[in-house]
Amino acid sequence: MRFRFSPALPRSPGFTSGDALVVLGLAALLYAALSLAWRAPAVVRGPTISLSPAALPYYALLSTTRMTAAYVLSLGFSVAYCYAAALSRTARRFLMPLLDVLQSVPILSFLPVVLLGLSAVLPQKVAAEIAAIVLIFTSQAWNLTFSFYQSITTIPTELREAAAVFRLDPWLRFKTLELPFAALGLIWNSMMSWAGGWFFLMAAEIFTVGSRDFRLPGLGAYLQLAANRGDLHAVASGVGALVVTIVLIDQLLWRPLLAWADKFRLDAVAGEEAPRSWLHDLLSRSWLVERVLTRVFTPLSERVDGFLHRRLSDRVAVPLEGPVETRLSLRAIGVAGVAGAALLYGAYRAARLLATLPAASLEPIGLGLLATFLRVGAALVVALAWTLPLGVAIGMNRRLASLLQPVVQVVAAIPATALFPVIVLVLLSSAGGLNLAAIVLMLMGTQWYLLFNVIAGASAIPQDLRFTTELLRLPWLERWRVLILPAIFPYVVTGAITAGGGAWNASIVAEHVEFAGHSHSTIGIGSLIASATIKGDYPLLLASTLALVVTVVLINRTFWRWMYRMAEERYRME
Amino acid sequence: MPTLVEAQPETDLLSLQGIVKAYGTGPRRFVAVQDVSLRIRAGEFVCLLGPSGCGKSTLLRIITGLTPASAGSVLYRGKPLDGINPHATIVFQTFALYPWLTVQENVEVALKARGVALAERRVRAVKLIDTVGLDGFETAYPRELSGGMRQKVGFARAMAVEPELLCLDEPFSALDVLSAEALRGELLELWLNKAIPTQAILMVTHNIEEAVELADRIVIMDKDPGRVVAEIPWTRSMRWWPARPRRRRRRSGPLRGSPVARPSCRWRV
Repeated sequence: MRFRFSPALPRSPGFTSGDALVVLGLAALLYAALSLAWRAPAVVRGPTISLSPAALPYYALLSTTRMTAAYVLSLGFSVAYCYAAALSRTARRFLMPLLDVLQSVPILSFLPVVLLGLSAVLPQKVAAEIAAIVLIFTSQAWNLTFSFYQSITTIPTELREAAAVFRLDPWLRFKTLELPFAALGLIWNSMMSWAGGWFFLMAAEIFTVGSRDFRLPGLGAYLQLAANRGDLHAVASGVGALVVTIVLIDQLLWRPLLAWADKFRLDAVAGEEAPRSWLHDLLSRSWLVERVLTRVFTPLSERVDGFLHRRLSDRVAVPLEGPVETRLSLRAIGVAGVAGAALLYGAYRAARLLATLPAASLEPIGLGLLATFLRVGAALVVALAWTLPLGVAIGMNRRLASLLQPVVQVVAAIPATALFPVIVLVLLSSAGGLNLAAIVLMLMGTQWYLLFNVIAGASAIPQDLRFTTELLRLPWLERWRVLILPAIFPYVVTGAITAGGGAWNASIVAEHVEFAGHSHSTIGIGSLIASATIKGDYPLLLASTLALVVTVVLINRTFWRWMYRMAEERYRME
Repeated sequence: MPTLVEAQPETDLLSLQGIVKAYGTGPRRFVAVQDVSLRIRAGEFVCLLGPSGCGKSTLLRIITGLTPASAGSVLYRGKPLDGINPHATIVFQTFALYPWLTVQENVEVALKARGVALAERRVRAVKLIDTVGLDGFETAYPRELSGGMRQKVGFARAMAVEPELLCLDEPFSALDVLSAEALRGELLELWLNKAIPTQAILMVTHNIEEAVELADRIVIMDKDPGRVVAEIPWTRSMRWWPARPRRRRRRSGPLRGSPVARPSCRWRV
């Protein structure tokens, strides 16, 4: 099997009015949540977590359920969003840039605001559950949406024309053309989304600020309590349960899906092995499954298809072509007007709230941003330093790849946030303290994106170029300068963008921890957000959250965009 | 299901009047088809012949309703066409089969879209696959078949919906020479024996020999802008050749010297 990546990065445009609009919208949303937060209970009691190993299956089930709920939401969202964007040109002009900004926003920074807002109106258990699901949703939805959108807009014209000429109704077209065409990309991106989701779930499960304990019963909370108590035995069994859960989901869900979805490949590349799964083999040979399929599934799907056909058969779409000017309907203008007014009002109120902020508090915000920026940079540099040589070695050596790949995959699947309490336990008493622990968390959360991308890049170096380099007998240094670094550059940039985003997110949980009854913080934007939440200083909370969002969007729009364009223009292998 | 109306010999199945197709506006305006008028009568096999980029495929898409014309009118049986033409289908140059469906499922999906029930769908699909000579390949996936076999699936799928007007978009140009030759013979056999309920065939091609071999009438197009430059009514100029089944000999006679044997009839009906 090869490492397969669809980085789901659109060719990001420069600053657009969309960016400003999104930031305004986020400010309005944050304000809305904060205006609820005034009424948030001052003390939130967390759940009681049992450290008994017998409770682990239950906690694993709870965590997996949250993930599943968020994933189903994300999938539904991406299909609906893409349909809206694909059907209407007006919507597309607006929806796709919106998505582009949304995916570069550090989502974890919204966690305190969302939690405060929700706990003001809902029972706190429900509030924490919903906040966790919303958080995971926002971490999963964007790349699924990009993948699906990219798929349905690149369906070959003749396949679409055939669907129209043979009068496939919208449902049948979705079932026979669009979904199968998008299936492979969706599955690969689902796996990535799911891995990212664990990171956020664990963060949400252990979230505590001051006297408000927003923890959720689950594997994350179990691990945190175990580390808090210094119970190494419980830490080990917690990590074990987490690994078992992740491996089980991989073996029982993703591998069979991949093996089954292999038929959706458009081109069968010679020499590339089809993905295999023991479960899929077992099921496809099973007599019972076969009976259920022919006796239950086929008649049922016939019913559904027939029912929908009777309703939709007159709606055979003509495939879209060239730019058609769509006129805005009165209703669309009305809706946009109301939404715009609400947005402006929200932004205005947010600005009023910001204006109450004393000028002196701008200094800690700037200082915090700088400190976190330096940490993110340090984490990226360390990650690059070890992933570059190892990734290239794995990517260019088949034997090493088959040996190390399963190990790397399992290790990479463990969400760094789950281990964070353990890191804190080990590092808090060391010289670096929480500062070092924060960098380690960022590193652990992000290095895998880099490693996988470097491996993908190195294994994509054409064989004849490698032979040429061998024949020229280039010395070691020259070989890296001339061949390897340019060849993997686009992959490294793609990996680093994702890794950087992850590192900013990690700062929210990493810079302020409640450990063994004491709270510890280090200078940074994450700890500023946490302390503003504790003190109930909502202007500061709003300001620091917005500052973080704007900074990350700025970095993406300038530095990473510049790197990305360089990668596109100079170092692309065609 | 399209109803099969027995057409009068002189009825226009399709008539195009002053069709224009342009893309873009202002200085970037590009005219793909300029003022084309065309009539197709029941019982005709018409070829649109021309170089690449002369708008012949665009014309085919206007006729089937896949693309709206910028100006002019498309009348089908005297009525203006609105949306996809329910009485026409296309056999595509690149086959346009769904790679994740088996041969049978590919044919069945066309029937399913017309609301044919499961049991009947299966029977009809198997029969059609048999007709094009692919029996035994029902459960094969398109990627496991040769180009010629894939195009047979394309024909089976098109015939499944029993179109009055069968549009062929360079159906043989993605095939190797031998497969193309064989498939052409088999198509002609079906058409001349009236084994398919099709009333008229419109084929787009840039291959002159192909047009000469198959067509009753050839419409020649040229590009920049795409327009009709000539029509060669074979049937009229070759009036002395009597009934249809013997026209094959005429075609092979003057062009290639001696009469050739009828191609083996592999499409059982």
